[in-house]
Amino acid sequence: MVKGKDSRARKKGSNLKACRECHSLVEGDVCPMCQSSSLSEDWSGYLVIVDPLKSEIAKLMGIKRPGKFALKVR
Amino acid sequence: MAQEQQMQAETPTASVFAVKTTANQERSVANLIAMVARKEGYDIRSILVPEELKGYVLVESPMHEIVEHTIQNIPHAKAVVKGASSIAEVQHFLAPKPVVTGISEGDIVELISGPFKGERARVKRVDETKEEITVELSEAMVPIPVTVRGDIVRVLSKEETR
Repeated sequence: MVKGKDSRARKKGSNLKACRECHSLVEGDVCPMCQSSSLSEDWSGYLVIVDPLKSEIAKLMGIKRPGKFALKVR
Repeated sequence: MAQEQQMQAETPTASVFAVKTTANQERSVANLIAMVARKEGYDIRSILVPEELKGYVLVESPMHEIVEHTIQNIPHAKAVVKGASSIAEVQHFLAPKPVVTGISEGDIVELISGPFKGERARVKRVDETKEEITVELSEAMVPIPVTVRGDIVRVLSKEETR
């Protein structure tokens, strides 16, 4: 019940936006990876890829570079 | 390609370890774990913070000791939970279900936030792609359809099948 309210409150303090195309979390207005300007402030789930070559999770998500990603972007 | 295959053969398979953190500090702990791993060259491959799992972060690494060593000086990271999970066990976190799953037309719901907080309503339409639902407030004199986010309602009763 509190979950939705809580996640919004937490996002308020974060200035990261998620790219709707590649799910990357970025700070500016354009995704530096895919040059898309379709960014969303409404995202949830957080994933940090440190080693994309060895990571099984990166393979499952189809991620080929290190960085921060959102699991779900609305 | 051949180099990648060779690397895969040499790479020990990773498990997923849960790290207990202070509530609401999961993202900062994940960032710090990644920073320490890069700086010290520890074999940590990824850090996962699912929205559903409050107070924990999931760390992909081949060994429990590596994770334990990494979190030693990280504030808000309390301990590594004993035991490991396989990648398959955490795979469902990677593709979260739409929030409207389980809500269907005709259900009676209660709005739990927003201007209609506390009001009861009947679901008229469910939009899975936008994760929105259209409801009609039960106590309104004139039934006006209101479209709200799927995560601000709680299902009170399912539609009765006649």
